[in-house]
Amino acid sequence: MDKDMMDKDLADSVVKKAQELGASYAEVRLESFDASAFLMKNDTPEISDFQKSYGIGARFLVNGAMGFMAINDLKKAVVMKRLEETIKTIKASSRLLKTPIKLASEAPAKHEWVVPQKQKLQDVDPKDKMEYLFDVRKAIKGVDRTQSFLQLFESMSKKYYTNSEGSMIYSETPRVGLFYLLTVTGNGDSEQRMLEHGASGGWENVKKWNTIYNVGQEVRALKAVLEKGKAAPKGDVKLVLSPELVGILVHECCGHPTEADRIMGREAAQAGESFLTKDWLGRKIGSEAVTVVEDPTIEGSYGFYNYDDEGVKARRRFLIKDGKINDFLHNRQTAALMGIKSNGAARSVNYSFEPIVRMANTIMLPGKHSFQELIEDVKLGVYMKSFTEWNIDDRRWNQRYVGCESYLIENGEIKTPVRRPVLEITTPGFYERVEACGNDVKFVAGECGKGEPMQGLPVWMGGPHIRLNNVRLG
Amino acid sequence: MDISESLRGAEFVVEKAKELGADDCIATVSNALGRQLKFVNNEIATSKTWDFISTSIFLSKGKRIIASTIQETDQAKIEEALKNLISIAGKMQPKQDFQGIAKGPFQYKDIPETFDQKVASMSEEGVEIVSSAIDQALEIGAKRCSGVLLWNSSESYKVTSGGVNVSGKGTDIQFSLRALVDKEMSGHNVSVSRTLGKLNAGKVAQEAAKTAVMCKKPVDGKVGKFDILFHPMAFTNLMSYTANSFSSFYVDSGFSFLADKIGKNVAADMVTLTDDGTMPNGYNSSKYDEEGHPVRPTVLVKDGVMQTYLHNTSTARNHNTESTGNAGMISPGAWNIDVKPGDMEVDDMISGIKDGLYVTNLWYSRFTNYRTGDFSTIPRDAIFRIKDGKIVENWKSIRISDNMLNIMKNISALSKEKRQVYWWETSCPVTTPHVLVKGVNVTRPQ
Repeated sequence: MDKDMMDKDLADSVVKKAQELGASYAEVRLESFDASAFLMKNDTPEISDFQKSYGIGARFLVNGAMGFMAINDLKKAVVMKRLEETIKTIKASSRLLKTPIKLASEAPAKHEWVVPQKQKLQDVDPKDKMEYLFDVRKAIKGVDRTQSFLQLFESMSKKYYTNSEGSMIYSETPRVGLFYLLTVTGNGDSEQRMLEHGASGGWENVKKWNTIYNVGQEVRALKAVLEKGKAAPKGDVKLVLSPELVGILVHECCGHPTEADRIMGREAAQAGESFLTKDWLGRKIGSEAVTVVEDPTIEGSYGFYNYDDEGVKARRRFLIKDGKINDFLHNRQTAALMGIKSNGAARSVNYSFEPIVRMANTIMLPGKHSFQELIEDVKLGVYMKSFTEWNIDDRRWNQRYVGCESYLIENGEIKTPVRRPVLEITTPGFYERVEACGNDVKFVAGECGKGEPMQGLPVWMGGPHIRLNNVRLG
Repeated sequence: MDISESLRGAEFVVEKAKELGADDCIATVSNALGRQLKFVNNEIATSKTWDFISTSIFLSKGKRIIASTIQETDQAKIEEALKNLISIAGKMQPKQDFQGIAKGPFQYKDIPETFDQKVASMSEEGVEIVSSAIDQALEIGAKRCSGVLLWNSSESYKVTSGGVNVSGKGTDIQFSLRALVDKEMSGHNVSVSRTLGKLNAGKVAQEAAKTAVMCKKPVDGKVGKFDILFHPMAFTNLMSYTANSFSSFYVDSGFSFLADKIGKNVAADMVTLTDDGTMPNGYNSSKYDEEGHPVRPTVLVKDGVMQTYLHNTSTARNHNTESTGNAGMISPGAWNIDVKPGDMEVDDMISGIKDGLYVTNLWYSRFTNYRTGDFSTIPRDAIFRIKDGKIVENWKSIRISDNMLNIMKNISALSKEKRQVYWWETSCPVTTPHVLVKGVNVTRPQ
């Protein structure tokens, strides 16, 4: 939908009408959200999917209670009727409220941004997108007995945000991503590998991922793990983790536990809470080599935004600084509860969902060491380059990562493949063991899940190669 | 949108798609109204309403298949969208193994207890349900209660080029409450239903609170092999992932540990699993699937032996069998998994455990390898340590790291009572008893 076709007057009317009905605060996101996906299972192109959606998502504070409505029949009379019913329900729910909800103050923002695309996604013929998947599949078949599931997906969000405090923000965000599952079989056994790439921007990103080359390398590595992989060494060893592993770790055990809404219990019955409390701010959790930031402002990143879904300007947040818990991720509600201002972490997938505290791009900052320097001092260790399974408890304390492509390190050299080394560790246990960080940073993409209904949000996660000491692998 | 308008809309899509050159077309017009009260720390954090209309379209042209969802109701705009989709289809590569959609017309049987006007028209009454449940949990000793009351009503109209012309309406309601005494003492339970009368919010709140109160001062668990009694909340998590593995699409994609297992033992003899989309009050029950094929119960595992995968018309033809009535827009999927109960009382199951655990909930199950079924999952909420038939302490910080086929094959007892579970962590509703599994591998962090 073109920007000019969007009914901004309707959005403004909802804000005005909500105030007339008693809302002390109202915000509306009017959004056109188009998404498409191309699927390929082994050699067969599967269904291609094209979704078009246009609607309003709005939140209101009434008598100190919060309410949300989403509607996609945008006839004014229909919207206003639903608005009246929504306000009525919020008033009823306020009866159970002992502490009225407050939002941290925020100056009204007027802003407009469009994520640039060197090659617009909509200008690339669907035929070429499908042929790209055929090329990826061809590279995978360089190794016999491989199965694959490929998915190329893209979306375009055109969003007008306005609130009762005078904010008016328009944005256009195109995103593109690629997911693959590779399976290599042999001798009645198999190994699998999953990866997702993602970016905001155009088709130029797909070329940057160099997937056609990389999947060829990866199936060969999987075959080597399957045929020659040995068990991880027993006892304490050095562990070198790739940016991919560092990314998932900082996402799971830094980004999630520092989400202030979890800390305050808002996700207790869904994605869980956090081992962190406000008292942790300033406390040591790891070695001084560890600094983790959350940064939505990285251009071209999968989690990019300039303003969040409460109209707060995006910024870099230092969650762990020199080994100490330094900051939490906030929206306006959690910030008010802690007596500070929001740091711009309110996001929603699209107008159908309420904005909640979310990550965008979570990164462990690099150090000074080259990859070779990280390896050369290691007498006995393991290098985990990629992973398969992972999980973490709902307080973000006890976690596990199973290596996929992994290698033994002996006397400073990378040697034979190691099959499925298991890193099962606590959050402080991980951060305390970081003894050196590389000077390289890479990212992988993911769809982070949180909220009810579940919102799978685009994020980046990454960091440098790092080295841990005294790790026992399963 | 009224009924006749929706039906006309679906008919128009199919007629126009055929006119534009589509070989097959499925159009589904839906109206859905959803509401939720999310409560946190004993207070309602937010009330939500979703009011959506949509038309989903599936079409094929020369074995090229496309799906789309649009919101247009204007016929000129629908025609424009269809022209665009047909044009895209023409540019795609054919899916050579596509074998068409279901050919009707079919006879459908209404499923009891799948619509309740009280749910459809419920609004502010939800606040009282939440308030009462929280009070009951606090009375038992919970300090904090969080969860949701979620209720939906929907109507849909389906027309296909295979001669299907059918409509349906439904309601559903679910209540989920996690009771916490402190950060490490918690219990969680859910009640799901299609009717208001069968929702047990109060009972759920009491059970969650009792569990939370019981799990005092949990200590770090130990590694080893233990007999584990899974509460229905916990076993649902495992069965929900298993449900995906029965889909022929998942099998062919490398996402299933049940590939090549038809006719083989995949579970203990006492295990019978059925996918039953016709279950009265089944949370996901429906009289027809995505292509309009009638839904029927499908026995997946009988007495431990794998019987079939879940199919739509096309995948069934490729596997030389018949559709099981499980078509989804992209892949066949389960409706409601039913685990056949046994004859044990839960107390007797606990008494019979010499060295084991009672796990009341699971979360974050992930596969190391979907094909082999190697996985791990994390017990959440109360974990009771059982020795010589008695609960002796409470554990925390452990992980179940095992293989899904091992779990299924090592099932040694099933309770008499079963319950339907569906919540945030599960992708498919499961009705299951308590399940005892021998020798489950438990790990913990360094």
